Amino acid sequence: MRGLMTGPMRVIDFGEVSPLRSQTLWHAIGYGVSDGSPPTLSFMRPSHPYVSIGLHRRLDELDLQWCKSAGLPIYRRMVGGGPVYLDGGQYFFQITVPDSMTRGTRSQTIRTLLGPAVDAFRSVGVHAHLDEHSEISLGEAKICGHAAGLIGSAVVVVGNLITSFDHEAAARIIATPSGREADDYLRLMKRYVMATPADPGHFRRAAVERYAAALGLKPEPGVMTEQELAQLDDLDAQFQDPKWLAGPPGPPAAEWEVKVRAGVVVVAAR
Amino acid sequence: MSVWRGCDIPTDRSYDVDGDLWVLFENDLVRLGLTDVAQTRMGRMVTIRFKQPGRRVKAGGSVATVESAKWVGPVHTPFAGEVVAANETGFAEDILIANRDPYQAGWISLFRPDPPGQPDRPLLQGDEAVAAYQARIDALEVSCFRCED
Repeated sequence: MRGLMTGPMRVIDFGEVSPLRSQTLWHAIGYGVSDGSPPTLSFMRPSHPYVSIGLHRRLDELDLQWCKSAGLPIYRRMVGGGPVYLDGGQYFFQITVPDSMTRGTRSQTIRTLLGPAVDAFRSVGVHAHLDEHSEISLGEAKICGHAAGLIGSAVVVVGNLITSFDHEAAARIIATPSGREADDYLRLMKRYVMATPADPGHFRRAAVERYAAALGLKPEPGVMTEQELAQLDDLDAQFQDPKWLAGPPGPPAAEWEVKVRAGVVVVAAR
Repeated sequence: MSVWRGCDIPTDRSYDVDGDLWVLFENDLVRLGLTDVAQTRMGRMVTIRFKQPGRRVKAGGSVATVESAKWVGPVHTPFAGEVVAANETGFAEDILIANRDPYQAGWISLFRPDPPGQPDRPLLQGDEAVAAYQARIDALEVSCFRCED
């Protein structure tokens, strides 16, 4: 970060929200901070399970038929990473700052902006560390899914406190070439993705304190601006647009693979 | 060519310094690309998605989005206008092309400003661009490097 800043850090706890809003709210905040809203730390929990897919990923990486039969809506986010299963056992946090506050490489920015979250995990008794892949981990297991990007001119880093994790559903959403890869994926996910059932309220309070200290900002409860609310309406429409969901055209990948966590990938048997 | 903390700053083009974007005027078109600073900050690119030729983009809009690891960011155009060509072939052959050669083979978009004229932000050239970019590189505390493999 570019030295210690002065001024407020807006804190918004959205509570439990719909799957759609658990994506569009923080995107709207991103555009808001890009247009001059203060740095913002936000929190929310989705009311129902759903699937989120990264901006550039192919929709056919998902087992669409199974997702439909399970009643899982699918939303394409504007940051990176692969398809993920999300539900109420995951408490989301997002830190959004103007890009002008950042320095160094983007990977350094991500590490910097995940650092206070690591401290928050530790504050609630989870001895987390940021590993060499920039995953928040406990031992060899990832305990927080994260993604990052630039929305307008705001840097957004999103993550979650996973209080419970449905490994079966998380593995089942992925289209696999055969049962063998599906079994491997589930087995590795159970090994490398772990829930840490800490209290979300304690985590939130610790995160507010740690992010404010790290950024040199004063935390202040806040609400969305009129402009952000208008943007939210647009984003709600965009995220439900089949064209947006379909994503980019392009050839299928040369070989099937799916990432369990950074550094752990299942590839199709030849 | 100027080099500052390992970052190349060719003096044959214009820069949106804060946007880490270079602009090369080619008659009534502009070629846009990421600077050495941009490709260094981003790291190894894994995906790029282009606005297709014929698409109109407003000033400040994106002509492409790039992804590296878990980072995604737009490439903003300082002009309103129309995409004439995108470097899809170059990136299809080598997704790291902008990491290796950001100022030549790794260009992003060929663009027709419409209406012709001023960008929505200042574009700097020559010594002024070099001085501004040197200051930005210092402020960002970044040292540039290129992909070799």
